[in-house]
Amino acid sequence: MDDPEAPSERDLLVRWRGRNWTKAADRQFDPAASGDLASAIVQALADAKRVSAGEVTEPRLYDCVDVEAVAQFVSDSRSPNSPEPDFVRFDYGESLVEVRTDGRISVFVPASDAV
Amino acid sequence: MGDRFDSDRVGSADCSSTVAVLTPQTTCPDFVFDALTEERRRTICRVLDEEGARDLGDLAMDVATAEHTADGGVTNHEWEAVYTSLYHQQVPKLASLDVVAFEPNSATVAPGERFAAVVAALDAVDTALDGRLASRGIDG
Repeated sequence: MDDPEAPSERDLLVRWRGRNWTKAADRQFDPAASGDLASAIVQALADAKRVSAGEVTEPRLYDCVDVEAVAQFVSDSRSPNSPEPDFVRFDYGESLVEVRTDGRISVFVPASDAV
Repeated sequence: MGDRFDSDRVGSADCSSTVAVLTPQTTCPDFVFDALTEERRRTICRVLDEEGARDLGDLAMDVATAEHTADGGVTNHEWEAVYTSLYHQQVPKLASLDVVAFEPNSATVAPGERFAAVVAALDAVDTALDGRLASRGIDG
């Protein structure tokens, strides 16, 4: 029932640090095809804000998270047999970013702000 | 600040024992390896060494070109992805190590205080490996 491939209502809403968050965007990171994780995360943030990646300037991702550590975590934990992907979550400005070990990048915004 | 034996966020405790057996003017080399871990940062250092201070957009094009020597051109999408990676990750990383200096208003990346040491290390590695890495440099 927890098939990670099937988006469910539960995926769209998470509770984290005592707040409710709504998913605003997600994208699949494929290291072989789309290069580096940092630009994929920024692209997801841009999707969430409905702007281009070049317009996402502050804060810098470097000041929010150690992307190299996250990339290492994703590549080390990648296991096709794992029933449930693990994840890392970090703040980017007012948004919450989640990077899963299956390569899914999701951007959440505080639920009250969601339209 | 002022502690030349400390490589920023990397613990200096491990370094002090190493430094003791090196010559007095030798600094902890962690920042060199930190700076050069990723190929993109090596390419950035190579470009800045040859061109001097560089506009971030031009630098992104240099790096993208170096990565796409096999298939020829660089698409706008590829350039944008490299630009994003440089702006959000690689340049701040090098700046935090004082290897480059970034001027946000003019979007210019320039060699920083510790730039020369990093390029010297890059040259030394190339020499040690008999130019096999150099062949992957910005000239293809």
